Amino acid sequence: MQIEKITRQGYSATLSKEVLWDIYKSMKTQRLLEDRLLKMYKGGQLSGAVYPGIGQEACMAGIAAGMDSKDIFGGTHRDLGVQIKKGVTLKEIALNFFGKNDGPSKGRDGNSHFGVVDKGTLMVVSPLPDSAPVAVGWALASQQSGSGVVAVANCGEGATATGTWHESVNMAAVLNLPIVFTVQNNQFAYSSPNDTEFGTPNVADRAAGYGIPAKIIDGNDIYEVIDAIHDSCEQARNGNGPSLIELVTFRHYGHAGHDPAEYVNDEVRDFWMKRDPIARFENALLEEGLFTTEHFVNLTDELEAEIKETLDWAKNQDDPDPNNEEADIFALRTTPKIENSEDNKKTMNYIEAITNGLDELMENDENVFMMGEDIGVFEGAFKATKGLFDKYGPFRVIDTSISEGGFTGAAVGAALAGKKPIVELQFYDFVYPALDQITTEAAKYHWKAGKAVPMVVRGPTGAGTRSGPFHSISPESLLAHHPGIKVVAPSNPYDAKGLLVAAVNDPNPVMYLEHKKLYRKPDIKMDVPLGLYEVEIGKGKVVREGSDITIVTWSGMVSVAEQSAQELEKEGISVEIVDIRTIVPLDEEIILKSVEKTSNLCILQEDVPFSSVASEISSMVAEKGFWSLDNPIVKVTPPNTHIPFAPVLEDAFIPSAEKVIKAIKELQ
Amino acid sequence: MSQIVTMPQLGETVTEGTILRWLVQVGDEVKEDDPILEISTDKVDTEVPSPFTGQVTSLLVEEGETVEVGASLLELDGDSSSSSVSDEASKELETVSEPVEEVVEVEKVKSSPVPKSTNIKLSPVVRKLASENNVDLEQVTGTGSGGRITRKDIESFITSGSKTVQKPKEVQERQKDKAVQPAKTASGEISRLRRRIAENMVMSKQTSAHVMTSVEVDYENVEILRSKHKKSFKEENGFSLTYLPFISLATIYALREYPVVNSSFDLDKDIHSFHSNINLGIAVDLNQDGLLVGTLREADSFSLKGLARKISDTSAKLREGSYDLDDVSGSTFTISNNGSFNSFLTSPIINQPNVAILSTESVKKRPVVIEAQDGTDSIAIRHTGMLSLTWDHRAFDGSVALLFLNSIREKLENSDWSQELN
Repeated sequence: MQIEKITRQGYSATLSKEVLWDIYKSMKTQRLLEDRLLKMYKGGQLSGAVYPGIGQEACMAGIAAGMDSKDIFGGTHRDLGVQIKKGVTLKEIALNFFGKNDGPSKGRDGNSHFGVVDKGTLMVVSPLPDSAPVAVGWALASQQSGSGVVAVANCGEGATATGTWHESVNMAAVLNLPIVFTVQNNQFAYSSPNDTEFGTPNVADRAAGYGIPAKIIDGNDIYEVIDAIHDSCEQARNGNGPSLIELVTFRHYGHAGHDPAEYVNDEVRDFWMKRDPIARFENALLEEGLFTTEHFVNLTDELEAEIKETLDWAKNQDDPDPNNEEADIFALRTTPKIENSEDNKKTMNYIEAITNGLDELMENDENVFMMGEDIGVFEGAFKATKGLFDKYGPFRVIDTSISEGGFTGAAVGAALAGKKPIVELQFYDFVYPALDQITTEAAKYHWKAGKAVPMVVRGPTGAGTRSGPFHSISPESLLAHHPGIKVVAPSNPYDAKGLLVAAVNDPNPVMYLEHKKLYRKPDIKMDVPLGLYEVEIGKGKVVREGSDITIVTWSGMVSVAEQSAQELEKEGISVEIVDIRTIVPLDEEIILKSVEKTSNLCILQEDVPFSSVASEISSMVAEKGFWSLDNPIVKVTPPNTHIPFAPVLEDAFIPSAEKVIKAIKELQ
Repeated sequence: MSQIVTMPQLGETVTEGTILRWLVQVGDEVKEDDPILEISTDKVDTEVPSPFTGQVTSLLVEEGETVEVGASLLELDGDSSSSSVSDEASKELETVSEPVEEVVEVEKVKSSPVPKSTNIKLSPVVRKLASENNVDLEQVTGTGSGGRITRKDIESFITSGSKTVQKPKEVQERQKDKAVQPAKTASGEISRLRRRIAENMVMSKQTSAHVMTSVEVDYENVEILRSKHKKSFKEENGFSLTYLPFISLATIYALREYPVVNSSFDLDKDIHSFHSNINLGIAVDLNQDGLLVGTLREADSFSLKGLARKISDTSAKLREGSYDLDDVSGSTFTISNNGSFNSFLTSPIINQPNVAILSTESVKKRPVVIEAQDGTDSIAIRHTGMLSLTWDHRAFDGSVALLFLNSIREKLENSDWSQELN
């Protein structure tokens, strides 16, 4: 078979013999390792899956070789070659494949689904290209701090059809970020050929739509890959923005170990086999007289032995402890709680307390920054960022495109890079497009990759403003269901600022739910300390003492509970109100203690009832506080439907004091 | 017009009754006030008079069946307007036959305690509190919807000290077919009386701080008098003159000296009540088939003879089962006459809400060292016996107990009772 020739001309021409050998060695390691893993998988010696990237070694080694060692790479399950070249060891890979405790994901994800952030590879997840917005966020952090780090966001051609990829590229283009988007077009997205994935002749043609430069290169020519990546990285590093590189290549095997890839016809396969990247590299190295065939044969023998030895070793390492399943779900906070030493106080309403908190947080720590729609010059739809753009400028109060998934994912990347991002959702209803990033990336990072993600997603929730079904949700139950994220919902100005400060200083993703009806509610105005202070996340508060029944509630419903309690008091029913303030982690103790005191429990929530926080609290009390109960637990919630617009419907939807009073009186 | 006769509530705390015997059959004509059945409740066994005149159309419960207060017992076809039902009776009937389910106004239910029922729903906290505080839930009035007992009900019950109030004694269980001492391997239901005794005993033990103290009494003084009058007394009164009236009288005098022993002590309510009357309780053994305390009301107004008679009469009434509530309730101090069964020393359980109970022990001839006035000792044969007092250390302390006991002893040894018997 005639192998197509390659030659080095640009940046690659400057590389030393040793550097070239390292690159060759990493390509060869990938091929031999994946070949071995594939055989083990087919022989029943390996659980899970194998996603061989054999045939794409030049793309992977070339991407890594074109990057600076400090640059960050966000890729896919078919990027083991990049990880190897970035310094991830055979041992780390083998441990992860066997799900071992000391592997990069501690057995929490298998095979090539891992990253080693400290070595410059982001956590690999299955939904693709979900690491792209994360890479965008890292680039954003780099831009802010001037660290000179470039991010490379890589995926296959199939993943470029997603909104996530689009949002990532678009955001990077708009913000002129130091990032390179690489697409390894290996001809098939699983089994689907190019013409079922995109309408342009090439993936790279899309770059025009974002206003960024693009290249289409031979992904099986190691020199061409190195040169293209290097040039684009340097362009990005120098402040000239992102670019797109389409690496045209071919996957020798199927999508995964189980896939015989019968959808590939012989003609296509023959065409690509002549362009095998390792054979071409070997020929070039021989031709240049740098190495001999003996070098290659000896390396193969060495690597095969090392791979076998490493896999045998890894197989016998410790499994993770099944009795410790919930470990690492949250990062532990190591910084002390911020106590306020100032005596100065100012009367503020709820939104003023939030704005004041944001201002002081940003003033206190330059790593704190904000992202969101219309939050800059316009100062936000509800004016929560009033005065902040003028004070902190466009790099810390960032107006984003309408890309909830994109900028929420970017917050993950920025947080990983050492920033403390605060994302504003214009309405919390728009958390839906961001949920993938929140749950796939933010919630799992510490658990799966051991890296804390200190970020806050804040925004207005709740009904009552005649805003209809898409500007009114109470998303706490939706969010609380996902392990790995904290959820807070303050009900008054003091808690609003205190919880915001605590959220920003928490090493975990915190969903900070504001209630838009409270923003300017005059009767909850109160004295709020100037200067930073915290309300501890996970601690509720008894906001009214009583003896006959406990109302557990939060956010906008606290004032409804107060109103109900005042009415019930006239009738001799003494109500205790517990404002839980934090949904996750739930302060079970304060609830159980109050129920022990009153023996009766009413849970009041604005969120819809089915499978909700109220259900969870009810279940928890039934399990842990059963012997305190004197009546069935009652939930006061809206009906199980969407939030309607018509004033009569919306008013009937939101739990009222009348409904609470009625429910409680029926109990007695 | 069809009329229903329901299970009457024969006492505030009665919740159910057992149908002992039907006195009428289907088809019988009954007149108002004619006895129609015999029932047994916690408190009494009694005949139930018909509240209506009419013909019996059906008997709704079987003999031996236990039903709740208010349950339908019998259907009569006849005149509903019979006028001679007393006001009180009609009031009672109204209460018990009122169908609770139909009472829709919550306020109404709350203001008048509905008949209690044993199968009402109990919430977890009520079950827990009842168990922890050993509360008999049948004693608790529920103010929740449908008469449900709420946490507040049980808490106020506990703090009011109601659980320590004496439950009046039961009548003798009449079901003779139940063996008194079943064979070792036999098992069976616990009789109503046995259950009540058991509950009261445990309740008392859990309420009071029981301490037993005893003194030895020289009965020679009493014995001399008793021997002298034994025969004539029996002829005159028809019953024997025992030691018990003497001890009772001495006790009554001692109670006057130490009124704290004739008191009730309610720690939960923070009340220590000193009783102006001495209602002397006498424990009466029902021929080894249970125990009741008969009450001699205002016992301090009786002479020795009167006391002897009253004790004899009350015992007989209790053993026959022909007594009423007054005969078995309201005692302020109790004597348990264990000596009649030849005891040496007994530690009885206090009859709540008393604060002490005296146990008389057997009187026997024993050798006693007697010191003569000149200081010389000699051994004499004397009638002696112990007197034991179990007392509630919550209400008073050991000195009072011994002063009280020694006061009784002193009276028994030195009083001149001869006038009492002439």
